[in-house]
This record gives sequence, structure tokens and C-alpha cells, in this order.
Amino acid sequence: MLDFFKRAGGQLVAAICAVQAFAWLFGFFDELTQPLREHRELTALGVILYFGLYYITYDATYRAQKMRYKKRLRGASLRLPVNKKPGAGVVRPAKRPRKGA
Amino acid sequence: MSTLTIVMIAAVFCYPVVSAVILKLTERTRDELADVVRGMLVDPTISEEHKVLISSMVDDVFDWRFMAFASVVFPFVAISRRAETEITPVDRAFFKREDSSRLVRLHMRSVMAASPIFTLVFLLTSGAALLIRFLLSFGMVMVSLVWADTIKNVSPSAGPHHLRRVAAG
Repeated sequence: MLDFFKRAGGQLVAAICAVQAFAWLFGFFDELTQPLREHRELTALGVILYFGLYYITYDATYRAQKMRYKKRLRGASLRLPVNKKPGAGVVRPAKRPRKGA
Repeated sequence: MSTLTIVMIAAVFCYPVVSAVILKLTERTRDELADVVRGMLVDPTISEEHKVLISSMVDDVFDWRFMAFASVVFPFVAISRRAETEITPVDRAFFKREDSSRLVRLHMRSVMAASPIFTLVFLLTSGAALLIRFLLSFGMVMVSLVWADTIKNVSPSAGPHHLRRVAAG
């Protein structure tokens, strides 16, 4: 469930940011945001409806397609991506707790 | 409420439906991608380093963030010509292979299908970047051509006389 909200919420926020950036660039920012600010309760209802619609339509398709894709890839000898950061994957001993802590 | 706002609100509500339809319509592309990946991972002529790259491409297919990042990174790569200098000859040879270029095409289509809104942003930003690059290169070609024509016209009358004067003097 958390994964769904991260996916749906992340896309919504990112899409709003992209649209707002274009609105600001092309000068229709106020025209776009004024009705949303005036009708806050409708905006909140719209966001809830969006999540519901997203769950019913996109998320269901997404999960089905991902399962299908995973099934198709089953048995493929995938390699794990290598983390190129220095010291990545090196297991160090845990720090000793300070005396008195 | 203005028409623009109504269109935007309608677009927000249509977006999940359209995305779901696009995801369903592109399932064959992902199937094909999975088959190509399976084939390439057991190919002994492909290096282990490239197999790691192929494996990481598998995970991008459903990730909407890929196009968000690509819409920022691609224009920089296109304008700065990083690809021409940073890609090693080994990578170049790898991406020239038929199966690799097919893999890249399928990956691009699959990733685009995962995030239609950022595909639009990507098309806008990368289109502008490619146009700038084309205009810059075309501009430089034009400057060179015009300069060459100027040389052809000016040199016979100006250059030789001056040099002859210098040589004689």
C-alpha cells in the first residue's frame, strides 16, 4: 500500500511541478492556480478522487503488467549492478558504544 | 473557471486512464525486450560489464522517474556532445551491434510508455536541445562557407599583392 502511495503521489507531485513550471514559464500560472486556491475543498476532493481513479485504472494495469514482465524474464541470468562508490559493499565492524552511553 | 483550468483538470483525471491504456498497448514491446535481454545475457561474445548494464536496463522499464531524469540529462548530453567523447570505442562497438541497437530502441519505447507526462516533457526539452545543436552546427557550417566565399573573392585582389610587396620590400 505504501508503495502505491509513493508511486501515485510521486507521479502526481512530479506532474504538478512540471505543469506549474511550464505555467510559470509561459505566464499562465495565476490563471491555473487561482481556482484551486479559491475552492480548496473541491481541490482536496479532486486529489482523493485522483488517487482512487489511479488505483482502479493505472495501478491495477501496472501490477498485472509487471507480473507478466517478471514471468517473461524468469530464469534469465541477470547481473547485479555494481555500486562504484569507493568502499561500497565493504562490511565494517560496528562502532563501539561510548562509555557511559 | 477558465477553459485552460478545465482542460488541465480533465487532463489530470484522464492521465491514469491514458497511462493504463498505453501500458496495456505496449506489453508486446516489453515482451520483446525481455526476450532480447534473455538472449544477450547468455551471449558469450558480450562482456560481463555490458551484461551488468543490460541487467540494470531491465529494472528501468516500469520506473516513471527514468523519463523525468532523462528529460533533464538528455538535453545536456545532446548539447555538450558528451556522447561523442565519453563513449569508449568498446561501448561504441557494442551499441553498433544489431541486437544492442534493438535493445536500446525497445528500452526507449518501454520507458516512454511508463511515464507519458514526462515523455512529453522529454520531447519538448530534447527537441529544443537538438534544434539548438543543429542550429549551432548549421550556423558554424554557414559561417565557414561564407568565410570561404569571402576568401575566394578577397584573396585574389588583396592578399597576393600585399605579400608580393612584402617579399619585394
